[in-house]
Amino acid sequence: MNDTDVATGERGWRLPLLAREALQSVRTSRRLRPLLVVAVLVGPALAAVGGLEAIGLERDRAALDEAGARVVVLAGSAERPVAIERASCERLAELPGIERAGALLASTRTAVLPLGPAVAVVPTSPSLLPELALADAVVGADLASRAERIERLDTGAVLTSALGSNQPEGIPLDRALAVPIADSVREIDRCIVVTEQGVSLATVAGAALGALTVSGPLPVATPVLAQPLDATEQFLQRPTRWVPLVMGVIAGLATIALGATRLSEFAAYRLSGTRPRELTAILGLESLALAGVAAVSGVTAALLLSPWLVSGVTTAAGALVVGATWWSIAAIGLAPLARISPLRLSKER
Amino acid sequence: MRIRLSEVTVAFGDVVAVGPITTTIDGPAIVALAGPSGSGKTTLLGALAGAVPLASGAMVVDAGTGVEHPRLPSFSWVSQAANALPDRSALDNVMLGALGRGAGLADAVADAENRLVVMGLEHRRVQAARTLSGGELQRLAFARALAAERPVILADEPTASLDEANTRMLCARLRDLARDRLIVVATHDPIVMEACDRVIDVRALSHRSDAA
Repeated sequence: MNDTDVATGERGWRLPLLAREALQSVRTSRRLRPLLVVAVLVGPALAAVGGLEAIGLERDRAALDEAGARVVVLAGSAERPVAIERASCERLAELPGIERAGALLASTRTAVLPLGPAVAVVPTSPSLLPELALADAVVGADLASRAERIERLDTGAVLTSALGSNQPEGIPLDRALAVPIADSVREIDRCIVVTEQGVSLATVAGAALGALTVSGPLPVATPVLAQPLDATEQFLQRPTRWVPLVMGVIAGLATIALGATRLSEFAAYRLSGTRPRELTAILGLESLALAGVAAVSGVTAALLLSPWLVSGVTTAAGALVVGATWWSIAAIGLAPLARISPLRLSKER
Repeated sequence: MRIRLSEVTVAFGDVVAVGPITTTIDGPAIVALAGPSGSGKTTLLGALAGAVPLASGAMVVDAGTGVEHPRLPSFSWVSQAANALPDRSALDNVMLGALGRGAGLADAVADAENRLVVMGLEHRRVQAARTLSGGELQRLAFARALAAERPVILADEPTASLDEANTRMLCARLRDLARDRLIVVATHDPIVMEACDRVIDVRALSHRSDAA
């Protein structure tokens, strides 16, 4: 811009004034106002999508957790049983990446007041069921007893009880009464490990096997969920990852469509000496301003609402994608309108 | 400024819309291209602007520099639609002319204020163009054309949507403007023709040469 026109000797628009013109246009034009509103709403819209993604991810993770996606059983086979030092199994809970670990022994059935006449009683490591540290026994979540004291009729023992939380597949305690394993039990035939969220099952299982004290054949690690699914991997493949791109395309096309209704305005520029490339620049800068508002709105929403999003950075990056797509499509689509003959433009009202 | 047309013909396909016309248009002056609807006055105006190709003949422009051009090197166009930026102030609209020729912001503001005074619109300075009347919009379009400081203004039916009072007011302003520039107006409005230094009857001229 601002280079001299050979035919007229005129210098053309100064670049800063082109930018000022574009900003003035975005600020005042009623025709551009809907786009400005859309640009401002990009942030809340992306945040809403991010929030729904977070809810979906949490739901998927919970479903996978319930299915035992984070549970690994370290044991031998029926043909080659192993003897694992119980204490070494319970110490696995202290390893990085492991949430809890311990043993479950075979259950016995007995009458327990007020739970029922044939309740499965399962000796369990407190390191596997932390609620056992709060009471003498933990009532399975599905038994749903609120009794603070229960009585084992086989031993006559009156125990304090706590209500357990739902357990994943591989830890069958939801319909059982968990009690601590007797101190006399030194060896177990299987050790159950629950990993922390988001860690590699294979890596943690390998570390756990290495930390066990075993006599006899080495145990193998078997995930409870035969085909472990990674919620994070599923999240990365989510269809909503295309939302920013689609939003940018729609906004860009809307900008072009609105541009087609502004030919009379374009005529005002062209008839007063503004050259096609200068008008192209004004329209491109207008689009850049609108796309910039969208990007800033999205990034701001991502920063403010990041605690409720799966990833604030991803949402902020999505806002930049919206802005870049919006601007690219609008700038390319509006350029031909700036090259229409001013006399043809002048017929537009 | 002198525009010489020699045997100029404009055709759309096989149909001759204008011409052949031979005439010379000298400025500064206000010159009307007159004739009823369909006579080809707007087409001829478009040919002067270089927007409509000549089917035959030649146009030579001498801007007073001694160098002859085959087309107008520089002009402003005012249309019947009086195009404007509807939501921008009258001042902003007129500033476009100066900004387009490379003026700085302060100069463009000062220039636009002067042009608004010349066209009797100084009291509308801060008003949005969409709030102006039809006559005021036409004057705004001329103010913007003035701000562009082009030596020639081509105006296509600028009074088509104006009442008599506004037409007379606009003509009075155009007379003042024509003191130092060439204004060519396509019109069939007798009030405008009355205000012109010269009236070219496009239909009549298409059938004979004019040595004027």
